[in-house]
Amino acid sequence: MRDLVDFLVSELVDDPDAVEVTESEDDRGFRYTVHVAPDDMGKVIGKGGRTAKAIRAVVRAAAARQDANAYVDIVD
Amino acid sequence: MARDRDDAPTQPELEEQADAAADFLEELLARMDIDAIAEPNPHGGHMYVDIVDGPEDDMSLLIGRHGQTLEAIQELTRMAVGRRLDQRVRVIVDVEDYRKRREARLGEHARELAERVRESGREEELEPMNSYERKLVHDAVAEIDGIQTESRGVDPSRYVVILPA
Repeated sequence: MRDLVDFLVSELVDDPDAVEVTESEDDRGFRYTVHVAPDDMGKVIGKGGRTAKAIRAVVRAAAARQDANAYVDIVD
Repeated sequence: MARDRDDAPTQPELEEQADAAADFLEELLARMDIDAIAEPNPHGGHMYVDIVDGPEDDMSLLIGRHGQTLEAIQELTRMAVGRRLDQRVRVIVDVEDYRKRREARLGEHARELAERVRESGREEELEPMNSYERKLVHDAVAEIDGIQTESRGVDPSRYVVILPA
């Protein structure tokens, strides 16, 4: 699933080499923390948070397939 | 319909967009571990990429509640392909004809409401829809005499009203 998050974010940014995804797990489920280049933040968040919302929806669906919860945090 | 002709993609551009979208979607499906295929299909003046031939559970998962996951997949596909090709991308992503079936139901529902408005003389509101679905509703009842349609409200709560002409 980390692979999925990495793929989605890397497809949207100008600087895919700066994309870093770390996975952690707590009692709520898997948490993916995404680092991108500061200039790429806007692209990953999108207008009104639209793109970030779409990324979260797809990752949640992939997690549901494994009966898991997943959260995505985007930071620069 | 107002459309800037210079801005509209040409047929070869549309086909290039659909091919690139199908490639993107197959990569996405592989990373979601879903065994299905994505194929480009022109339909009703739009370029569709249809996700088909997967297990039923996975297909409903890709659609999501009220089509929310499908909307998210389409949004990300348009953005990613737009970046790859440096074009504005309008391909429509569908899963097992979910959108086409919904569109058919939407048209039917709009025509039923239009008949009701014609008989009662009172306007009827439809639920909020995106611009694509609103256009489907306007078009579905355009030929019916004695009624007219308009959109009211602000996205994402904008909705169509059918009213006596």
